[in-house]
Amino acid sequence: MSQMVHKFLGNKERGRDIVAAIAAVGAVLLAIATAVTSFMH
Amino acid sequence: MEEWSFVNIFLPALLPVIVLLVLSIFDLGATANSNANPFVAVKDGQLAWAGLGMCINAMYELRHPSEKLTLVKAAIDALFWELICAILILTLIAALGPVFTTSMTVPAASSRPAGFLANCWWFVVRGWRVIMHFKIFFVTVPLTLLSGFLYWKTHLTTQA
Repeated sequence: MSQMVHKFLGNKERGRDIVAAIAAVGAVLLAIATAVTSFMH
Repeated sequence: MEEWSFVNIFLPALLPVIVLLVLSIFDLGATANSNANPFVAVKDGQLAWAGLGMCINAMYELRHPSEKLTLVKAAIDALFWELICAILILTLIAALGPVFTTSMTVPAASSRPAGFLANCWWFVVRGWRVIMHFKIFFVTVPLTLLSGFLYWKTHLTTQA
């Protein structure tokens, strides 16, 4: 487990890339969901 | 409603940045002055903390609506899951942003070429490099704005 975390997040640049990628995909999906459901009352 | 947005959304997110802007005017010594740059305070996703506060407040208001609430159950559920997703993403950024810190120095680009079109392209490439270098910051800003919108929408529909 510790080795797996180190493999993915041990490199600072790669760790930043992974966090940014997850956040960016999440932000896009969340924005679409918010836009779609904003008409519900 | 404008006063509510100012006090609950813009003030918590921007007050530290405004204080740093004021501080950066004064001579604090070389190291402190470079650290007083407001961008240093937000470049690693620190705005996510403000966004988290908004989402948690929105969740509380969603769970404690006024008695006049007319929102359909599907809309309440949608808001609930959107807030959960926002909280998870913002927590990830708030926790890991400072672990994988970004340096203030953007990797050097090639020298500016001659000619209008080549110059325009150089600016596009340079801008893209800056965005990719400060990627955590550039993904945190829309997420914080989205959190503000979710909080505003929740407050408007549950506390009216």
